[in-house]
Amino acid sequence: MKRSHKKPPGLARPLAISAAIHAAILITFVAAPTVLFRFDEKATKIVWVELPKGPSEEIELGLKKAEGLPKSTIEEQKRLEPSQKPLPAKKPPEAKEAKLDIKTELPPRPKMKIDDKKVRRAKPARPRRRVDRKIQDALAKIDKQLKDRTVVPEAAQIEKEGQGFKYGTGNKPLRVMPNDPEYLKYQARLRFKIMKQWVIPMKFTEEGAEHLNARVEVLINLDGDVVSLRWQSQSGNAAFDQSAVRAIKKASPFPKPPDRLAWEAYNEGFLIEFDPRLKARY
Amino acid sequence: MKRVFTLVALLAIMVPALAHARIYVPIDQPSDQKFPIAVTDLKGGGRGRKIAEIIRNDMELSGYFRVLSPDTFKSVARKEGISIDKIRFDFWTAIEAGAIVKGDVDSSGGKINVTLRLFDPFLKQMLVGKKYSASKKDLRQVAHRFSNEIMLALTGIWGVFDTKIAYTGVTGKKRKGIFVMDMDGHGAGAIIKNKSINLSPAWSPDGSRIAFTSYIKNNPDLYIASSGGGRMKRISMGGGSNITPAWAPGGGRIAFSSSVGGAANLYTVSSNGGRASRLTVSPTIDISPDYSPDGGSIVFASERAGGLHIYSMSAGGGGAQRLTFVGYQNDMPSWSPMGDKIAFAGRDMGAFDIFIMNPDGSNIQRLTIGTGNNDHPSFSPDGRMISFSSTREGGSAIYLMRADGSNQTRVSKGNGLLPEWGPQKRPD
Repeated sequence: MKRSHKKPPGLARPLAISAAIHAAILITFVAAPTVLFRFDEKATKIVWVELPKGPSEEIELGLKKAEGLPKSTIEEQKRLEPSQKPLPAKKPPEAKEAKLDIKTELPPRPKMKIDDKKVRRAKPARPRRRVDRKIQDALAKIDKQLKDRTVVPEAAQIEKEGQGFKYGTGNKPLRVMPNDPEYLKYQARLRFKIMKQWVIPMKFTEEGAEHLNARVEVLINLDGDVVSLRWQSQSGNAAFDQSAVRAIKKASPFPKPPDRLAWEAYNEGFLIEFDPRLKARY
Repeated sequence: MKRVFTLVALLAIMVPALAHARIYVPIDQPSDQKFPIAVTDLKGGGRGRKIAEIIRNDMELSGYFRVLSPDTFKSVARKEGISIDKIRFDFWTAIEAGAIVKGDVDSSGGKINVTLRLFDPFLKQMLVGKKYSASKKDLRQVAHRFSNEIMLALTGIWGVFDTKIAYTGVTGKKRKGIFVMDMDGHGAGAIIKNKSINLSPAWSPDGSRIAFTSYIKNNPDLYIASSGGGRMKRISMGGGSNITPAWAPGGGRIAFSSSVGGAANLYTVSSNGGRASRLTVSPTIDISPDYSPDGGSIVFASERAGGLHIYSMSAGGGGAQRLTFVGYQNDMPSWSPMGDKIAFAGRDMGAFDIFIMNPDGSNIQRLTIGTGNNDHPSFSPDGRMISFSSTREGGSAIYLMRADGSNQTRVSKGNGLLPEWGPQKRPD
């Protein structure tokens, strides 16, 4: 019997139809990606929109305009992590002015929580007289109120709202993808984590320094560990490039991305750009 | 069948690359973590250790570096050489040193010969190599000079470790004198000391002379003396209280506040003395002038709007613009030699603190808080550091900090107030 040559009944036709349908779907993918995908073709290059200026707590950047002289120092502001959102509209407690003549020598004050390892402290002398103890108490009260206050990043006489950044001197907001607070928050957290690990000699960030730019494509596994690093473009300066790689490795594991970004984070990965001039460029 | 299969296979290969949607992270600022540096004792006994100690302290004062504790590398450094082929760079990268300082020193007669080198252990390269020959008494200057080289190599700008600070110190009961010390606090000595009160020194631009106020003739008058001390020459005539001198960048004139005409107003006088010319005419107090680095403007404190606020005007007088509209007692402005910032002392919550702002008054930021009175800021010649006086440990002493308020460190061994950072002589 020549059964082997005979095709099974009706299989050729469904096979051809299936192939045709598959082909049709594939052609649709090729021809009209905008119809079917969330991310339009433009996402292949990165498109940035400048954020409107204003109090930008949502992206954890930007300084508030202080009512009087600013109540927090630059150093205190630097220590706030993006997750430590300052509580809104909480006025610092009114520090009761101690009735002192400031010109008299004050006894030493109790130490602030500020990490000031370098200040060599004399042991505070015991208050001998009742007046000294009153002064000590008044100062201790002011110190406690200062310690208990919330540090709000602020500067006075800001020209336009939003001028000046947490680190003091930038004039333009960072360009980020628009109106997606969850994305912005995650981006800020990761940015902060890597920035904290990026240690380079100051000469790369000084005014008038050579403009260096390095871009790295990074992939992570489900635990957030960095599993692959690939150069998209190098700066050409070995010390600068090496510092970027070290920073990414030290920042591993990356914080867990929100669910909406999970697919991109684990499948597409990250593009991390190191460039001290980024603010000025955009 | 085969043809269909091939067709399907071909189309499968043609699946388009899906749009890349990588998560973009811009890193535009390095860490505030200081750059770790390891300074090994130089070979050559006590002098080698001394030089290393001075350099380590300079690196700490700069606020840019985390100076690794010598205990982490002492034994390795002792066994190693000081040239590239004799250094085990893997050890240094393992302890995460970003830079290493090594060298040696020997002496003959009254002279010392010092070799100092700066290495990058990640690139396994020498960044700076210098040889110095100096008299024994200049050991500190040699160390400071190499610290300046380190700053240039790693931060892009020459350091200020060979500069001096003038200040006012108590010399007895109701007596004050003018003192000068190295910026690291070493070598402090009085250059003007008498039975009276002398205060508020200001350096000439070339560092050779100091202007100050003295009560030696029972009236606060302006005097000039050599910065090494010696004879004082009076340059304010005509009475009144003459205080807060500031030398113009050209060196020819001195601005100051005088009450000779009634309320304290601003005047200038030639540094050779002579007739003073008036800069401001105001029924209220104008004090504490300071010149912009190009000499074209003067920033000062004035009560003309009620409360004491910071103003700036042209150096010839006229065109006074108010800069501060917050606070109520803002005083002692100091213009950065880089021209981009003005620091001042402002009274807030019961004490003076140091603030910094742009020369047009915008973006006032705070540098000190909760540490007694902090006042009289004075910038270093490179504009990166500020010296100031602080009562945080009891009496008033001189401190340094970076211009962003970080790394506040005491440098004066005894008491001190009204510090004024001297100019820098660049090596030829």
